[in-house]
Amino acid sequence: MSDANPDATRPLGVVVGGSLTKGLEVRLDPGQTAQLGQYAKTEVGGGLSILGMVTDITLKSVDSGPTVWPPGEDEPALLREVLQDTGVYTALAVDPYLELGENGEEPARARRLPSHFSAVHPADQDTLDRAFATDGPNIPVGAPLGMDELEVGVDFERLFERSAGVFGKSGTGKSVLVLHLLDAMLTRSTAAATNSDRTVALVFDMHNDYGWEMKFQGPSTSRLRSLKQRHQTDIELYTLESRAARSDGQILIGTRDIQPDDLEVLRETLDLSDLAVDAAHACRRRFGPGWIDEIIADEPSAAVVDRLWREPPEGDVNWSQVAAQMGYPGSLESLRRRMERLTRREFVRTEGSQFGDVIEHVVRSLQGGKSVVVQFGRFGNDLVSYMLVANMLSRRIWERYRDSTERSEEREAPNRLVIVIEEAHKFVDRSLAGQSIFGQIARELRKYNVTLLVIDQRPSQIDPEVLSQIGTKFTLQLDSDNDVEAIVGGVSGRSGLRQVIAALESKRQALVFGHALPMPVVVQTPEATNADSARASLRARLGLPEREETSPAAALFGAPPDSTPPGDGR
Amino acid sequence: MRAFECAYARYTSEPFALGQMLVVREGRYDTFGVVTGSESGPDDPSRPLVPRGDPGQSAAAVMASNPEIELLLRTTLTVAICGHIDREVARPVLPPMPPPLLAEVQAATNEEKVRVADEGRFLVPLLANPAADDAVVAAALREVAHAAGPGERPFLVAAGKELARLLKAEPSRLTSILRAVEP
Ligand SMILES: Nc1ncnc2c1ncn2[C@@H]1O[C@H](COP(=O)(O)OP(=O)(O)OP(=O)(O)O)[C@@H](O)[C@H]1O
Ligand SMILES: [Mg+2]
Repeated sequence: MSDANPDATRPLGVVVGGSLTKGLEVRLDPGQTAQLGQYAKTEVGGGLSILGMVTDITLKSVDSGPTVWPPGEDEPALLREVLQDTGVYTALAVDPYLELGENGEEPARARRLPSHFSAVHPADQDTLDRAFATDGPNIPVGAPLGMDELEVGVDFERLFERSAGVFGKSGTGKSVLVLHLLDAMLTRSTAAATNSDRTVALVFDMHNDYGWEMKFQGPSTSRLRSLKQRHQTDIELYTLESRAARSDGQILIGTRDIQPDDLEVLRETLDLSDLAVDAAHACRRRFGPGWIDEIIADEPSAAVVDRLWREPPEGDVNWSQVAAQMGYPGSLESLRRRMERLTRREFVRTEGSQFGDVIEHVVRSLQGGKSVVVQFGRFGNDLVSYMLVANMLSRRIWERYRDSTERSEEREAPNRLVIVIEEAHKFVDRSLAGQSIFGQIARELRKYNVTLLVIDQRPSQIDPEVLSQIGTKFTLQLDSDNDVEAIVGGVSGRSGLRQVIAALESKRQALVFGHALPMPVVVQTPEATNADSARASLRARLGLPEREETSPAAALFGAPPDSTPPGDGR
Repeated sequence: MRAFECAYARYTSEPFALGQMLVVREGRYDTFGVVTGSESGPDDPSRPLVPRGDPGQSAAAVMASNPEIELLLRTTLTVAICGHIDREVARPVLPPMPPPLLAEVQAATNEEKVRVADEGRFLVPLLANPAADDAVVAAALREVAHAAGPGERPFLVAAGKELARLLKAEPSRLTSILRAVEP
């Protein structure tokens, strides 16, 4: 899709058919052009107009004649010219979305159809201004196609009140867009009056994008300033590597912290059979919290032997005897080998339970109004590490939020938490969405003040039920029809968006739709820069004074309590 | 062939071409029509023309040396009505009444042709007349287009579209007419 310059004063064409569910059919006027994703409007009488989006463009012929005997190259040009718009014509599919009144009423969902032969015009700036007007704070997400003057904003509250998703194939601009959204979130939160008014993020940063800086191919820079540089005091940076620069703390997991439940989601990644997972449960039951340390030992310990035999067998007991005794002949061995490999990672500490401290600090930071970025460093390429940490942390933090919410009659409800995960389909794929904490968070909506921001290249792999719970979707160019289908599948009667997604350009062009917007929009996402010039307008859109000042909360109570992060980082 | 020669002199003095637009400026309306055919022959069908003149002599020369021939021949034009002008307003539809008998038929001016043709709408009454075959329609379009001067191309496109709508059931006819218009 490229920018077109349709003559806004001339009609695009006339309505020749359609339905509310399938959209309008509009015959394009000769000489006019239209592009996918463009807005069009038409009157329905009573001062109402309908605003819709061009979701398909088809070449049609009145009867089969011209298509069966198309004018050849050597035919007079007149014949071709005459057949345009008579024998053949261009039809637009326009999905009606909004009904706009004359007197500035709230736009409503389109429930009327224009009559036959109503003129359809390209939507003007004024109409779109009204359609996308928001009272509250909003995050600018770019200009609609062909309307560079206008910047559409997604409603801040609505965006984070339900889960959201950013989808697109590699290199389309997902990370840059997510950085923009998180930057806006933090900018707004910093200025909030109290901690509980703040929306905070827990970011599982697989590729080191959201901490200090982001790798970026820009004309003037190869690094984009990221969250820590933009919001020094409102971000806490945790790393998995022990001696990482600029870290505020290290994530450490003790073997005693890992529950068999935590392995369930790793089933596929770790290549664990169902039986092996059963064996893990059995080991936990028999050997207690230290079960991993027990099973990764070279020889079964006396304690293990004691647990399994009333009368131990003669001589040294080996693991295959243990496995046989437990009833998991092959699978215990495979579980042992995998646990051994799992625990070789430097952030996993044997015979320890450091995780409780980590959780404590992270929860305190989050509920204290700070966002937390967990950087995976070189573990970013290790899906096992990513999933283990993201899953273990999220589950436990979600439980804390759940408890705080349930006790909130006595105390203040916790602030809103948005958990950001990449490669989301690994966590909530069709086979394990049931067990995954992320599936649960998506399904429970905002019951416990926790929502998701998922980033994914392959939405078709995500459990459709989870996908359907995602309120606002930012869709960049996708790889396959399956992925496109997955994104629009849940949108009732709006199959036209399929073509719109299929026609997106390969970078920075996104279809945004759902909970936080009155109607779908195709935007060119805002240019990412390190310059501060964009900040003033961002702040204005977020309902903040143009210049940064000390937040009322900080002025009254001082900065949020500083938590000393655990671990040996720094 | 010779008999035809006799009639030729009349054509040279007042040539009416196939598809040409004519006007009758008498009666309540100016009535416009398109020449769909002409028939020439002796006034008295019982006395057919006989060949005259010497081998190698041109038709004009034969006429000149036999001035009586002209008086014996009649040329009848058939004209399909395609519109009228009613008090300065051009309407590409049949007039309510036919033109008066014995009224004089003249060639329409360029300006009149373009007005009456009305971007091709004159094709509606024209095509309704079975006498207006493909050759006539193509000739009429060429004639008006020529009269339109710089507006020639836009007229042809607009009229072609009108024609396409009228002939939507006969795409091959549309094609052959347009081929004849713009070879
Ligand atoms: N808003 C933007 N402004 C300027 N350049 C951009 C923007 N968005 C994307 N780009 C360009 O596209 C490149 C890739 O963007 P990004 O890293 O966000 O892709 P991605 O979708 O996260 O890819 P991956 O799936 O591989 O992580 C950037 O390095 C930059 O050159
Ligand atoms: Mg990325």
